[in-house]
Amino acid sequence: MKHNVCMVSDFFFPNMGGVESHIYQLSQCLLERGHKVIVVTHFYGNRKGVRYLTNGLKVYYLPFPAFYNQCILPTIFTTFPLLRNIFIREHITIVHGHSAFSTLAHEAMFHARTLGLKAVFTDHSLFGFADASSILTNKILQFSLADCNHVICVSHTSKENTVLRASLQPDVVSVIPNAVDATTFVPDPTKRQPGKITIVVVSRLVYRKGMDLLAGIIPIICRRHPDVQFIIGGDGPKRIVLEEVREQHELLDRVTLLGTLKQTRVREVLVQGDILVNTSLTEAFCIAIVEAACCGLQVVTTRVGGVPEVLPPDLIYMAEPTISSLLESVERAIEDRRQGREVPPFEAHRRIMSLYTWRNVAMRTERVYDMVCLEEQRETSTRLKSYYQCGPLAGKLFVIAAVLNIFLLFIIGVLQPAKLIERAAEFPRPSVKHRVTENNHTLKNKKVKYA
Amino acid sequence: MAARKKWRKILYEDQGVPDNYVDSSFLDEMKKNLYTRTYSYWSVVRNSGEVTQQISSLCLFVVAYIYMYNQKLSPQLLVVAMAAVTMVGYLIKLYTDHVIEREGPHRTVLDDLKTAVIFTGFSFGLSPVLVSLTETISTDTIYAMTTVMLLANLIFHDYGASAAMVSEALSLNAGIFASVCLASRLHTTWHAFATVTLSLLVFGLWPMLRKQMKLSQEAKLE
Repeated sequence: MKHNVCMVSDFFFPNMGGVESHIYQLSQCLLERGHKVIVVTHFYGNRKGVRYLTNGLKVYYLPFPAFYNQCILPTIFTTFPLLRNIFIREHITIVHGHSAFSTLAHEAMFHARTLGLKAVFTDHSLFGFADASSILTNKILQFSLADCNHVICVSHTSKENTVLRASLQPDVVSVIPNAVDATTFVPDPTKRQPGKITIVVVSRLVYRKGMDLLAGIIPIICRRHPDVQFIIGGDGPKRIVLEEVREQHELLDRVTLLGTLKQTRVREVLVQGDILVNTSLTEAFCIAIVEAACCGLQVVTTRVGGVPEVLPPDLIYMAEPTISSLLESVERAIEDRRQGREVPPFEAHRRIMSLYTWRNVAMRTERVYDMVCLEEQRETSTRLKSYYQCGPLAGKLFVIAAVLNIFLLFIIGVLQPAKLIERAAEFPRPSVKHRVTENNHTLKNKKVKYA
Repeated sequence: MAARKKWRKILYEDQGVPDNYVDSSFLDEMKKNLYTRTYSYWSVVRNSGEVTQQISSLCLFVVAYIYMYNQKLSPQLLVVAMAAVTMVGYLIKLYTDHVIEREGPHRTVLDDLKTAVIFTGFSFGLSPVLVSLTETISTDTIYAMTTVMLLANLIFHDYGASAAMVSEALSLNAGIFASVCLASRLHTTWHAFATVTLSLLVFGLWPMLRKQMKLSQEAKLE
């Protein structure tokens, strides 16, 4: 079954991050499998209108200004006319929203459901339940997912989290892990410094990533092991804490702070290290440890969120998120490195390469698309009922919003009938044979992705 | 099928189940209400009772003022009644002192009597001043100020919680100030004396006695 998929998220190139590259890679692999994929996002600076990326991946940069954290202002209804136009223009059958933070994704899915299209949502992050802001976001998520056809989470823990937050039936949630582009993360043991053990940290330097724990272990490790050095890539508000530690314990020559890393340089930094330390306090999937393991590093990580599910036990050293436990695990890794007991870099690379590939992700996502397409069209009353069950007050508000949207659809339908909307021309796709010969296109096109 | 391995919560192996498979262990690791405290009914009643009690004392003070203002209650009668209540309260204090058996220097009955005489003497001597102190201020202002001060008394009162805003001194001063404000609306020195003494009794002595009774009750329970 071939699908016309519209990926929607506030986060896309030229913005950089996990969600952005996920959408890009997934779209490329789906294109490869013969589906039609377009991406819809809001404009970034001068990047407005329609652009084409590699392999004819069409991207709509919509004229909605970013309002907070690269998200558009939530208005629910004002995005409807434009999105309807795009959906009809491009013969979209499935709308696939990404990231719980993205307002545009939620609104697009809502409108898609009003138009009778299928909606799929991928959740990329974990959330709390207790503070005021998460209660509010969870309510919005509940509204958005109440009528969604299928949800995809990146780990089993993330699935549990999403099911609880949005009060979903667990069987409408699939678990499809993230992937790494193994061809970009190839080990290179010659880059390591002989006679030294280098510990690498690649992460944003923020509280959530456990930078205070890192600041706690650095001086102790440096004191106990004179041959250990640290390389820290990334930037953030906690950088000052690390700098203070470095200053206080006179470790300027042993702790290197690289600042913000470009995606293309991550591998360059990773291969210099022997051990990667991840001190996150919460994490849905943690792509960083997979990338590191793929580069042949030993991985020491905190046992939080979806992290324990990601790597097989012999490739990972788990610790509780406390300084003493992390210290113990890091020292275990150092000891194994000295004794030469670690898994050889290229063997680790080979194993990870077969574990998490984008082609596999695309195949499993396709299965989800097939499944939602076979689902029967829901009656309006069923839709309204699922909104109504969202809560004593919220349920009623949600129903009002849904009914208003149906009414709005009617008005737009009168003002701009669907048959008057110009249909977009299909981008000519290379034939299957042609595609096989160019199998490694993702490699060549890195420049586009990270330009 | 029977030989199928038990499902594990991992991503690095294909376990031969659909992606939306829900295992029976789903949500097993969820921990609920880790940090909630449960309160026993009677401890809540006892502690919130202190708040309602303080509100009641405040109402008692206001009602006494209104009665005197409407000349339904003579200040002399009030003073006599207060003296009687104080005597009873003092006996209770002696008893609870005995129960708690606090260490350190003891205040003798003579000490207490001296303090009482000084306080009543001063407020009686100064009542002609107090009665005219705020006389020139308009009644509306007086009532507004009294309301604010009594509210301050309620808010800053020490109910046994360790919060930053608790200030026994501020609370007591607000109460006394409210009584001085009201005293000027009652015209005679006897009235002023009765009002100020009542406020001392209600806002100063009674909370002390209440606290001590609570302590002695806890000491008894142990």
